[in-house]
Amino acid sequence: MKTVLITGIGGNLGKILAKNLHREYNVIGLDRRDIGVLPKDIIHYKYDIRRNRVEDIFKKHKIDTIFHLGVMHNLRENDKEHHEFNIIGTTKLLEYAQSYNVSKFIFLSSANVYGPKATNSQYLNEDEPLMGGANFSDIRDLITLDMLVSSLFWKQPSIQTIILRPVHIVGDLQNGISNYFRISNKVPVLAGFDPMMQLIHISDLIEAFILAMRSNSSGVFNLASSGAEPLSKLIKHLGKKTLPLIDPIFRNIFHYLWRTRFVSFPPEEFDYLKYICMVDTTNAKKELNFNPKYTIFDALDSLNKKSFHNIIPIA
Amino acid sequence: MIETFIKKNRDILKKATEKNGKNISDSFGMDLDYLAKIITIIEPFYKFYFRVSTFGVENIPNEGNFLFISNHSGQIPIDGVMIGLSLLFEKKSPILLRSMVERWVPELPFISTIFSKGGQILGTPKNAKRVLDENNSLLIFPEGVKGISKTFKNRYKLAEFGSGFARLAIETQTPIIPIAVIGAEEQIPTIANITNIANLLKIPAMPIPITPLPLPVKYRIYFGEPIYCIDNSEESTEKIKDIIQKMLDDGLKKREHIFW
Repeated sequence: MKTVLITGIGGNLGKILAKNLHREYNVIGLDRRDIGVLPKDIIHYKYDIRRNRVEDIFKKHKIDTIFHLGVMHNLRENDKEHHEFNIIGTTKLLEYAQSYNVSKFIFLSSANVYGPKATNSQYLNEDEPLMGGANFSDIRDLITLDMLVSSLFWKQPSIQTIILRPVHIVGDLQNGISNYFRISNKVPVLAGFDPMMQLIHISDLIEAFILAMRSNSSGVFNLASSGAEPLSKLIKHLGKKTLPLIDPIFRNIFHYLWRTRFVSFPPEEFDYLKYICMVDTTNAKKELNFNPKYTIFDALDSLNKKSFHNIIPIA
Repeated sequence: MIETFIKKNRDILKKATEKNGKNISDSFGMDLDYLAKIITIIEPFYKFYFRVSTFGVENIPNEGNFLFISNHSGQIPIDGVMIGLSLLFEKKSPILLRSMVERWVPELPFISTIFSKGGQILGTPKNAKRVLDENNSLLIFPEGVKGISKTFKNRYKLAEFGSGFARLAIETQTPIIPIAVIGAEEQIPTIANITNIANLLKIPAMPIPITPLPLPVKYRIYFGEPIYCIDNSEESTEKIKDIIQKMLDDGLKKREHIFW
């Protein structure tokens, strides 16, 4: 039985992934948080990813695949802590992967690394410059990580490295976009803007993880569930109304509200409501056989559904 | 009353998007119901204000998709709208034309939404290729801003052509239909284009018009025969430019009056 290490197993995605893998693989979790209830055969190491004893995990177990989901996205955390956790943690993980002959490294990045821009082509492919940090400094961490991991392609070609860049993940999660759609019966939008959006259903993402694990290709892959719709249509589908805000005025107000912790929506995220940041998933379809089973509307419908996403038909 | 007009236009759009048994897929956010309403609003201008006449529509084959290349003029892009409507109204198997907008358009509130719902696409090479791959026909003005902001004394003299359209035609093997629009040059005569002020305000052009609203000039739209680009893109660009210039010159000779 092969052994899989999942960093950030305490997060929603980590848990769902672990539940999907534990029958077929030895699953080891690494997370400094409590992970709550998970099947008993999953071993959890409650270590901080930066600590040296993380190396003990590699000494003790023969890890075949690493799923690196343990990226801190908490925008409220102080910048230094945030940055250190992400960069040092990932660098160490990459070192261990190289010295302990891990055969596969799968990293969860995000399509947000491309960033919403007025000049974006409708569909961006994986070669597009990572401009997400231009107006949104918190994305820079993720871009750095994305690039750190992609250095494995030339540093250690024997490790099969896969970087996944999904669009907004929507579902029973506490992330920015899911919370945005839950806000209230009136969802704030920017007056005069109605960008096209793509979403990904958690199950499609988990399926992509599993496909990545089974495939023999390396590379960077954009992911999205099928379909793309204007934001207004998505809000309408939820049976909600839009609340148009005027951009420069409300951006400044939000800036102040965010600083004083009245809202959990950083003003930089206004750009996602203004410009497109859509991806071309042809590569994932071709190389990973990624074939989304859900549509953008299914993803929206799963917003408040508590469900166990059991996807893999065990091979 | 107005509903019947909207429905008629909606039917034309339906016919145009279901051509050749293939459904034209749209991944750019075009909304056909919305577009039908826009067309219904503009239709009276097409029929009664600019009184568009078309020539050579029979040159356009009924099957396939094309790259329509036209001269650009008139300070505001009414010529693009009129070409688009003429292909819907005058052709038996109507063509829904997509066109490309400038890179600053998505920054404009409301206008950006109207454009994208109306099927307009941001002008990047990737978008152009994708829209052709999805079996759409595309309208390109290779003169760009230089063409549309021509002053009155330079009317009907083609500005420099960008060669992007020819590269696109060669790469995607799409036949080109040349178009000459006559009439648009006189809709808003301008005496000067103050580029210094335009640069200062970061806008594409600063024309000094002598009329606040477009004059009711008569539009004449000439469609040429399809051309297949096989040679290199620079030569093809010049070739197409010469063809359109000749179509303009011939059309101008035949024209007896600007307004009728």
